[in-house]
Amino acid sequence: MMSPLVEWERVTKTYAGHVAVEALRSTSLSIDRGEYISIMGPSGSGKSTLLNVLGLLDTPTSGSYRLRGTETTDLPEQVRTALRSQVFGFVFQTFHLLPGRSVLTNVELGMTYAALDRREKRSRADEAIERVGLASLRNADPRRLSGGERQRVAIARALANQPELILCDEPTGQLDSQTADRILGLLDELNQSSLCVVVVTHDERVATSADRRINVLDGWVST
Amino acid sequence: MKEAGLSVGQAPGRAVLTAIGTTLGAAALIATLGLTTTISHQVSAEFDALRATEVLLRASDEGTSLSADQSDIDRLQSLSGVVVAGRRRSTPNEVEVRRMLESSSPSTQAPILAADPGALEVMAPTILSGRSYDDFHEDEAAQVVMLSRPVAERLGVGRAGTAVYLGNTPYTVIGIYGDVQRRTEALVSVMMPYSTSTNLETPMSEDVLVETLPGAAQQVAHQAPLAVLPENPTAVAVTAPPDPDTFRRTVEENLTNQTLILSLVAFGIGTVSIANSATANIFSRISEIGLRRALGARPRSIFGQLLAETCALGTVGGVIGALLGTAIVSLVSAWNGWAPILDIRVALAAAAAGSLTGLLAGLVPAVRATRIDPVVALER
Repeated sequence: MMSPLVEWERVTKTYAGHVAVEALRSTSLSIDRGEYISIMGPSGSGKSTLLNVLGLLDTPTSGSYRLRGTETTDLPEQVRTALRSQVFGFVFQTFHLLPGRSVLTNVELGMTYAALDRREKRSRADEAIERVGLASLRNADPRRLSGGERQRVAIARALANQPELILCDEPTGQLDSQTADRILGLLDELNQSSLCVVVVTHDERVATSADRRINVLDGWVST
Repeated sequence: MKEAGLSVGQAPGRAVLTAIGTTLGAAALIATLGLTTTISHQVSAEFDALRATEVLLRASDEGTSLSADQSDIDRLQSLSGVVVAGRRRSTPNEVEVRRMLESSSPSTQAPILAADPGALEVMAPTILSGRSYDDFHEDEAAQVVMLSRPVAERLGVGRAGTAVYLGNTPYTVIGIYGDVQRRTEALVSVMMPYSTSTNLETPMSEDVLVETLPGAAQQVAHQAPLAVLPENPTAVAVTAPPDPDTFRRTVEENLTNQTLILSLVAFGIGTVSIANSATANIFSRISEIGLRRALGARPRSIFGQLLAETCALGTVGGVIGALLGTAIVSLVSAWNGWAPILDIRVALAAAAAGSLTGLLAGLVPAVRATRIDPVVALER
């Protein structure tokens, strides 16, 4: 039986300061390949911290984090960075698309730091754009796209490097309900093709679209 | 490098404003160095025409006179490079010149300058009225004078043929002259034949004036003392123009040092301009930097990209500035009818200086960018 993609054991994250903030308290969880998980909690509950530690953007203060069976907490920074690039794709609430560049070059940005030649990058970018249904807008300026189209570009960028897990931070936060439903439908399709999807949200409707829910409150995680 | 190019290209207006300091620095360097060199060649060319073809011989011992006779002048004229030479005598102080013998008649003070036809030819006065004296007047020690225009005006003499008085001795005004090509002391003098002046009772100092061919002044100045006073050449003091090449180099060096300082200041301003813009740029791109970190960029990748951006801006600014400076030199030269002179290495150096400017300007902002926390950046 394959080991989980992600295994946490008593992971904590404390931010030092005048008053220390325990953003995550002794969290243990596991995520299998191909799962669709929502992380739900109110603002300030620690869900963003959970996502950042999960995505190797931040390091735990204590505890064990195994990714693909490898302990990550004692890895050098460049190895963590490389692992992040290989395993994770990121989708943000505010899209984070670069202005002045086309949809294609924005999607290719997802592979900038991967060891791929230009032809391979172009091929993967086209494939990802096709997968999110934006082939006709390949050369468009993202500033001219709707919110839903921009988020699909961001998802294509996350897919381009062929990650094992997509981390989405409030992916429908800037969208109307109809557009949000389309994005959730796309994430569901991606999950159906065996991609692991983790969505952080405070929206109940978004949370129920996932197969499993993780609740976060005041740094405490319950699965 | 590709990402740096794409980032610069996505905001061309900002790139232009950022690079403008370096552009101006490079343009200033090229234009000032090029125009300095061009102008100094024009200056020295004009200088050559007159000043560089005149040599003056005096007694090296002040208070004594250089007494040269005609054989000395003949020997001097036989030197290679000499066009014409002649003797002169002049009063150390001004002498009273009167329109008529009566003391109440118009009078003025003016120095007396006696010159033989050879020296007169070197000075080349422009005759306004009448004529200049010649060999005949010199041979006869004729009682004739030529009045400079200011002297003639003060005496109320409007044309040749009238008489003026030096002391109680009448002299016929043979001509009135205006400008002179050499020896500006003649502009306010009363001129007479050299032989005529020997009758004056006032003490006078003597010298020898020589016109040379262009480029021969240095050589004639070296040989003239031996020709004029072979038994004691060290008793002859020579006033010769500086070597044109030396003069040109001196002008160029002085102006070049000043322009280099100005250009360095301009480049310094350009560096600060790019640095400020790069710093502001980072703050406006914090979320992009966070995104890149999330996508797998290491801090050194961020550092390298930002440094490449500022270096590119500096290089573009330097190249455009070099082209602009070259155009300025060409246009100004064409406008003035000069031959533009510009060392291509200076243009290349200006472009390279632009790159260096960008590199230096980008160092601190690039280091700051590597310290941006991706988590914090992505929350913006």
